[in-house]
Amino acid sequence: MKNKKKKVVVPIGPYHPLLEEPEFFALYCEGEKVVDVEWQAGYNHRAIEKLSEGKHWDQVTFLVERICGICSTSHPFAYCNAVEDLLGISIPDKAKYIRCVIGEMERIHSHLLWVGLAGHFLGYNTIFMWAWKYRESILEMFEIITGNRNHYAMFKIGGVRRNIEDEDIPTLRKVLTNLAGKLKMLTNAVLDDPVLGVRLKGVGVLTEEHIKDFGAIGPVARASGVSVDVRKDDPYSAYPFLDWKVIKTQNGDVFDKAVVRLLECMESVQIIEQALNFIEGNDGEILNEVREIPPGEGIGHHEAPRGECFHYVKSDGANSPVRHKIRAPSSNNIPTFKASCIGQMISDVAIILAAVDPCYCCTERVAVYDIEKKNKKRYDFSDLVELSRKRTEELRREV
Amino acid sequence: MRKPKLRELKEAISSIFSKPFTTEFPFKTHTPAERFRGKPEYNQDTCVGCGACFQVCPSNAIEMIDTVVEGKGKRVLVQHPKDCLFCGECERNCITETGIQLTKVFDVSYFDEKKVQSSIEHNLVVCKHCKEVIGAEKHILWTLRKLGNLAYSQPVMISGLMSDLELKVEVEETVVAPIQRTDILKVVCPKCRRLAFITDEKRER
Repeated sequence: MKNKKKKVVVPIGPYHPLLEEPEFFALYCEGEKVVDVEWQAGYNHRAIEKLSEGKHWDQVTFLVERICGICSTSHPFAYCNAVEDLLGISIPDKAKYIRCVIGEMERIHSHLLWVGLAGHFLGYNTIFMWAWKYRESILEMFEIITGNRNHYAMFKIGGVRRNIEDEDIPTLRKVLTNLAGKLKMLTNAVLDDPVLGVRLKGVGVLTEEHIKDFGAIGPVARASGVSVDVRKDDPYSAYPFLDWKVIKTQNGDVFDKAVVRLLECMESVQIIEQALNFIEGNDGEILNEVREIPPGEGIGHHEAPRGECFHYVKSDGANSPVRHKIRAPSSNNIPTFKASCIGQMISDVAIILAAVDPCYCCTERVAVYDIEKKNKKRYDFSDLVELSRKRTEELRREV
Repeated sequence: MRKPKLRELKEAISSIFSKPFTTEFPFKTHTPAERFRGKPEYNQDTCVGCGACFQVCPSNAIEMIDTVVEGKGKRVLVQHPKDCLFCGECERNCITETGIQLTKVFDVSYFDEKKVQSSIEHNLVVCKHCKEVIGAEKHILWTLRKLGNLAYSQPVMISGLMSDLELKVEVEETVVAPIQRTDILKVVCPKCRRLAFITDEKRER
């Protein structure tokens, strides 16, 4: 405690419950260097688990879809897997492939969103503009296939609610071919850029031990060389029938996390193309009608863009779940800040916090408290981004 | 200029000579996709007022208001776009399949909510004895047609059928308490019909 008094505390975080993901971070600094970090979450408790106990089994699918706006299909995916595990039924083959297409399209748009935001925080607004431009074509495809850009409402216990029509498939293929070219360009642009290399390599390193200690999952773990992917480890849906590989890199820094995400997008494009080959011209069933849910319990998971999303449901044979437990991937990944932020500069913290891919409103407001001098200086979010960009600018001059 | 930059330069130059990627939304109306899920609307002709949409709605965006005044009932179904998720469960579970349908309307923000909400009114069939709601008139007729000949097995349904065929003779259909066995041919709810049997039996003894 005596030691901490000398340090400057930088609390980051809004207490505003309306924002997507309000979190609180307190950075303990010595000069520009971060020596300790504390975090708190739970400012946006919406009682989703309790609400789901008051809804019908079919209604819960739409409730859990609204947990997250970006990965809005991963929760219904995991929930439907859980209820189907409880029922012990298998769904029609075509429905399995449609589920995979929707899941992978979501991964592409989520990862592109992250790459764009990372570029924005580093002062590379071109990456931001381009990534979001390429992402737009996927969102338009979502509107054509599912009827909405963001909340797709495709999942139902026992299958899917909508078919992917044969006349939409050529459009989707065309969009994917265009996207694959653009993704290649973007990946190479990120890999070759000397400034991005200096700015991101060796920043916010998470070693394999850190990943195992904190139980981190998803692209965060795969960037550190830990091959964790539920799609391979415990295959579900149509993933075992498709040919794809788990992307992993060794270094565990922010740069590798970006690379993993971009390469995963390419892999997703391949998965979708294979799945479309199965769907095209297939007149099979898409829904295995479920009449009632017997007593019992079931678990289900899905590899969301941010990691494994886990659902547990318990039924007593009635119309709604008795217990519904949800674990989102961010709750595993956010504690890794304890390892990745320490020893870094404040200007790097913005990108390290973003590298885990939480919704970024967590740094909406920053205040610097200098305990020794008893003065208070307040930074807002734009100031933190400004710090981050200044550093990029400095490095650019050096390179 | 470094060599890798040429690749991005190509993209940048092609961006300069192409139209802006963003849409000119307020000036140019956006046309949604063919199967877009927009605001649900009631179909005045095919909705029968069964209330299935009200029961399946995940966000309770559909309101069902039953009012009974002096033996005459009215049911109003209101769809509130402010609460709506546009999931399409109401359309999927509609018993007539076209009673409520999703439209392509995506612009539902108004200061006055009544401008965008869709509502429908139905007459209710009310029990003559206890004034309990039995169902919407159109819903009962729809069920009769589905049942075919079986519809003649039930007194309420027979009187319903007769009015549908315009055969019904206007009779004063009030039930005077206490309910008697003869009253079961009038429009009474299942609960009252059972009561009629039980009390009548007691009286005979």
